[in-house]
Amino acid sequence: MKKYIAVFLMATLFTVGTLFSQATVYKTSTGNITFVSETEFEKFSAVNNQVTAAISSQGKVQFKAPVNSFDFEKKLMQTHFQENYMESATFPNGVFKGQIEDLKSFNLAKSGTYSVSVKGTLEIHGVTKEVVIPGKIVVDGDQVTLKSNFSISCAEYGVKIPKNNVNQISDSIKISINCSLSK
Amino acid sequence: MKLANRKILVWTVLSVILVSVAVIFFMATESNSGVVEEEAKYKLTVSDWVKEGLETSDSSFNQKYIGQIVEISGKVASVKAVEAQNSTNVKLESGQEEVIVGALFNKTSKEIQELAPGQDVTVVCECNGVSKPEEDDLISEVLFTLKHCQLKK
Repeated sequence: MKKYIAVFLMATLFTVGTLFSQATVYKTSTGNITFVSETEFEKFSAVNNQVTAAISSQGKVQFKAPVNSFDFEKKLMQTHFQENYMESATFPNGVFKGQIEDLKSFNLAKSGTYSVSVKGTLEIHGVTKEVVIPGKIVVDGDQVTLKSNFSISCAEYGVKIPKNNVNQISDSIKISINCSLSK
Repeated sequence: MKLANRKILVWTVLSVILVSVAVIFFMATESNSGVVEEEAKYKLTVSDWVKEGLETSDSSFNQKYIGQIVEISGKVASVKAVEAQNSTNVKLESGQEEVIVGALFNKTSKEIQELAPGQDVTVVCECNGVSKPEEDDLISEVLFTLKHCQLKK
């Protein structure tokens, strides 16, 4: 009898342990990414409201931004961006996959604002680079908001800006992320 | 060459230059309306469209549909306002588990915000294609995205 009780207890503990070790995932498919290019002569921005984003309680963070979802003020600029610079038919998404470096620096179960650093890979235009991105996690009950501001270099990701456009398009692009996630 | 002919030639060349400049200026400054204005190339139900997307590779599906205007009919699953940009994301019932069909309306209106789950709609949008999850993705859903949408009445 004792043997059966021991087996039952172990099975119960294993089941409970497995359930608790599963990560809670917060996600959205309507996240927002804005980028700004600014030179001495011209400033323009583009907005994407169809960003997929997710964060797990174990610190995994992912973003996927469809290139064609970036909206510009000018139609021609958008066409150039999609077809000539980003070649969206070949490279349809920009993707970031990372891990929060210090797992003690945030708690998705407790409301608050946490400053974090996420180390991972950023893939743009078919080029993947290791990056460390600073960000903020705002936990408000069941709602988690991910915010980040950083810059990337077009040249590093193989995005070629024609010589006659270098005065209009900056090599350094400022990126802002603002995604509200839920379970 | 006679003087009259020379005048005609000069005026023709000047006219061509002026028209070209006007066309280039219009193209360079044309605003992005954020709403599709063209006729749909493909007219489908959500379930047929999703079925096609799941049965074909994402690259061939995307090659066929990305940038094309599509007319999709189905039922509303949910409506969510994207506060920052005054736009609204309407999810359509895909008929499949783990499949999301999102239609983004840039110019939101009362009519769009008042759409109710289960309501029949037909949307005309620009297709952004399908995105299928990879093995290590946190998001397990297959995403079909549409943008610059407008309701068809």
